[in-house]
Amino acid sequence: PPFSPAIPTTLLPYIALLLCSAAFLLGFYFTTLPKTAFSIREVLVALVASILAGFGIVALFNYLGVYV
Amino acid sequence: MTSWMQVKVKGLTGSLEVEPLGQNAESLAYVYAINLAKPLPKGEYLTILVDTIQLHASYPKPAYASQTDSHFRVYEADGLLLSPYETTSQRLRFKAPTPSIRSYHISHTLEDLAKEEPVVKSGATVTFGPFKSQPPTATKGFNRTPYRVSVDFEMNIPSLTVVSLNRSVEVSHWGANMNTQDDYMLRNDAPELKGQFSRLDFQMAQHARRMSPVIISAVTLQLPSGAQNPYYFDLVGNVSTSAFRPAAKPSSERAARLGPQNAQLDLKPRYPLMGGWNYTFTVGWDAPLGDSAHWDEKNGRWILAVPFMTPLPSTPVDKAEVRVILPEGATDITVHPPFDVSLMERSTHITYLDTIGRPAFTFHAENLTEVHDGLIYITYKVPLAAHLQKPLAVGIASLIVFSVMWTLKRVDMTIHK
Repeated sequence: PPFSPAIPTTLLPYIALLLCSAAFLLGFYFTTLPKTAFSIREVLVALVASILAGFGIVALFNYLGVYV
Repeated sequence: MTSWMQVKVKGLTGSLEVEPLGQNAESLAYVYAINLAKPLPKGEYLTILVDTIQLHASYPKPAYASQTDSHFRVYEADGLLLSPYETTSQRLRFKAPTPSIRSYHISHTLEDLAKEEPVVKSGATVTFGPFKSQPPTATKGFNRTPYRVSVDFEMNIPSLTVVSLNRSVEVSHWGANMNTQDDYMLRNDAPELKGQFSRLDFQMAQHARRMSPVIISAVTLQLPSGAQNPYYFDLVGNVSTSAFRPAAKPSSERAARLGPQNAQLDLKPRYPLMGGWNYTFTVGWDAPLGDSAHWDEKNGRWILAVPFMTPLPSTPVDKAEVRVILPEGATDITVHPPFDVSLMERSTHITYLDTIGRPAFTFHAENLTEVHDGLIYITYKVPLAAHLQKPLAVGIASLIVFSVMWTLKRVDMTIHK
């Protein structure tokens, strides 16, 4: 069968918008967290924001025409 | 130079196998062996058709012409067939592109060999011969120069040459896209321009629609049907004198059955190409990957079909380099070029969001024409982990930024008294 992507290309702009803004908001929340010695919350927020940013940036690149 | 050879038996479909045997040491002729399907019994007849294409076979005469002159070329050939066998009867029939043939010339030694009329011109065809009972000519010491013929004819189509073509095809699985980018170096092989280029004469000829075929003012490319977002630029920048007509959607069932139609891209170089002038530019377009790549369920691999080049009618390509860039992490790659290429290279291409780089295959070929427009077949596997390498790379970069911010928040940079 002909190639069909795992994530349909028509959805990519919306995925890019959603994931990138979620990553941005989480990053912003990260900067407001209190300065404790070690907090699991900080690590989790950073992790989730990075994963969202990873997929969001790839979707953003494809939407903009840089087909990575 | 001979660019292509195909041998058929008259009346049968399918071509015979041709084996190049190299240069014969005695006669200095290049020998090819044609293998017949079954041996020919004694006393039987067989008609074999050998088609060859010669590139740059004629030269313009006069070598210099102004932009309003006509375009005449001369084709010279050996009047006697180069053959290791005795020939009972041979004829050389030359068919010109137009009936306007200025002159034709046959050497005296060859004229003496013909019993009746040595040369006959009829319309656009000039026939030299027939020459009966000739001994083998591909022998040591046989001098073919006394037997030359030549025809001086008018050329009414543009004679464009692609001096070099660099094609780069990039496959993206995330974006389901195949981007094709061509770098062309064109040359107009008409008689070289004599004197200055006159913009006034050119525009008058354009207005009166009486442009000499010496001038090339536009090139049309037939792109695959899914082509979209084309771009066309050269060293100076974007060239806006182009027209892109996407493939028309089939309007009726019958039209749909004809298959997908080509998209058409009309390119106008920045300046009209006069005789001997060159133009270098880059064209590119995107196409859905579903048009070119298929998933083979049985072997668990992708099969990709990439056109070797966009054929331009009656245009030789002196040198072509086609590079196919596969997605990152492609493994178990098999490569099948459409014809024997002179060199195949494998390299690693690094572009946006790449960590280990993408496998790229470059095919080098020379002396191509529109009959060489085949498909390069490449099969490969991409595991899911390789697909996820891209978001993972961005994620790790983002994590590094977060960690740097985390440490900087805890570093005390205030000035103490």
